[in-house]
Amino acid sequence: MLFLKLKRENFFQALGEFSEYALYVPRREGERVLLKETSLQDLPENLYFERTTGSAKEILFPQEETLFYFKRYEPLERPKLEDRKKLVLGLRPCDAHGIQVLEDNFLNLEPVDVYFKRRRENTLLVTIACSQFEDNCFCDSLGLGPDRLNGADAIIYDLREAVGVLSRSAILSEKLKGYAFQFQEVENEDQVEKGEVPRRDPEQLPILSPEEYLALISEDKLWEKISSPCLGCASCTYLCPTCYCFDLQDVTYGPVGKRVRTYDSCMFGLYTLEASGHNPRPTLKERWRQRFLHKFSYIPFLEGILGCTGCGRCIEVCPAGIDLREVIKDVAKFKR
Amino acid sequence: MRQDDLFLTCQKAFQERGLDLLLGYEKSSSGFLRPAVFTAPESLERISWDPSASLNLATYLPRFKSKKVGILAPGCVSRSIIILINEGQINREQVTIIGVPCRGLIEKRKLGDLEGVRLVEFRDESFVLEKENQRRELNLEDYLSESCLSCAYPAPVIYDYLIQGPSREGSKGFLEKRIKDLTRLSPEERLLYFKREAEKCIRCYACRQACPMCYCESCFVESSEPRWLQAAPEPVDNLIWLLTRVYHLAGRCVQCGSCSRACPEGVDLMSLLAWANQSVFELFQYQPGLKIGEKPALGEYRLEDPDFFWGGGQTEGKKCCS
Repeated sequence: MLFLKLKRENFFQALGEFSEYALYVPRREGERVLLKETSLQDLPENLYFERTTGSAKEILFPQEETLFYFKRYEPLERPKLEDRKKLVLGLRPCDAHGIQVLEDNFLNLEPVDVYFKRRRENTLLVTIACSQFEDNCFCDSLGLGPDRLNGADAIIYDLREAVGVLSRSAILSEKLKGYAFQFQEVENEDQVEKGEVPRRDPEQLPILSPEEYLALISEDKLWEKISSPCLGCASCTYLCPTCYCFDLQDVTYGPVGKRVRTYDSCMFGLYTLEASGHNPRPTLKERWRQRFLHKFSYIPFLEGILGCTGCGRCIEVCPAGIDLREVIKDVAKFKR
Repeated sequence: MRQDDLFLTCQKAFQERGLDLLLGYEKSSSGFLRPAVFTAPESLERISWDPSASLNLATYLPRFKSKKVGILAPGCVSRSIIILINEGQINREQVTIIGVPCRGLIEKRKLGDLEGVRLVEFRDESFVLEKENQRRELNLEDYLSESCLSCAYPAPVIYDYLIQGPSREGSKGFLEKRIKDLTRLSPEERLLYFKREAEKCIRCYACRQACPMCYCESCFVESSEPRWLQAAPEPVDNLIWLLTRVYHLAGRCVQCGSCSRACPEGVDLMSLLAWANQSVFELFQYQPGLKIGEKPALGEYRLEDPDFFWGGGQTEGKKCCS
């Protein structure tokens, strides 16, 4: 990893080096904050960006994507893989943690997802250490932020007059070096100067081990209690930075068509409905158990990292007001 | 409305009616209300009701068909219950309605950044937010939902128990004006407006799940044979979803705004819903959810019904929503 310090004006100049990249930043449009292409001139001087309404996953794993086209009696045709280079600036450390979970699923397991892989290779993810906490966010309770590199290619720290960049991408390091007044190799991200990062007394959340969580799988009363106000919509999973479940559907027009991948949600009954009519997760109780254990037991067990980023989006959008922090506490009470 | 009145009445209802559960609200850590299912009279100490509630509790009723259920009901919820009874989804005997006065519900989105903010209290015409010991008093009327600004029946229409307290005065106008503005646009401009709204939709179906009238066990969007629309959030499919839901709710929607507040993307759902309801009212002089035993306007045929759309009938030449 390389830690670079740049004067503010030089930092913006350095971004000019990335002319072959499309620059994406969070931008407010009415009630929503979306990742939008922007020009270098339109970047805010103070490098403050709002948290996006949706999560960063859509930049690598869009809600809808065509995997191939088909035509009767003819071989399948794969669409041209997206080769547009993107520099995504202004995401948060929690978003970057979500990307890491996605990478583990799409890249580190066989078969490798070629669509995701191509996008990831063409994307530079530069996060910014949070200058303030957002509604309901709790990454500090999970030890994931608000100033950690997580799955990003680089993270930016506001050092008042200067901009600190901690980079683990060779391309980024190479291009920024010429503009930095100081740079050094670092082993550990805790060694670097981070400037003023907001601190608060993080709420202590009792996170159990994957095995301890797994032992609660048959606690029907627990899952029933937690899921009782749930409505079974997918706003939490669609906005979650780590939810990567998808559905495959054929869109046909007579003899031609395409196979499309779209987000799916374990909160829907249709998600596990089998052709026979049997549904192994017939009620919200089983669906909630799946969603919770996937994030807090299965992903930590398989990937070694937490499947929750603490971004707080699910808490903010839940129409039934379910607060994941309280769910975490409720679950821990059942620990054996 | 007094808190002990609410608690004692609910407890009384729970015991007198032998309820299995009671649907109400409790305060979340930020002071805003969230739905809660109370299964024992002792737990009712936490029950609470104020304008920070969001979800229409009648949404939960079809889940508890075999249970005796109590429910807190302001005007819109009581009307939803009437429709659910009229449409054969629940029995009147099975539901115990605890009517509550309603001063309108807050649209949380209008409050902006809520990091570290706690809702402290409601006063007569305002409410108080606190952040880092700084208090801010806001005028309730300015932060009410669109649906509540156009609510004709804030007080419960039917009830078994009633909590005393002032309700907002019934007032129409807000959404009606929006509809007028939209009808003034050319059809192309209007289509463009709703296409833009549809583009925001991520098809999480929070609107459907938050709606007491969307109780179908299998929604048309889930059908794969035939497939009515694609699962992917293509703008045109989103528009089909939003419009079809509106048609299914025409003359059935009580305009509680539950769907609109549940939408994570802030899609304008209320304009179309209010427009469909207004059309049904103009054509059939029917308002949903006011009388038990009534048939829904679109579920009944009367000889005097207008049938201008196929050429004859008594309202020849009349167009709806003129």
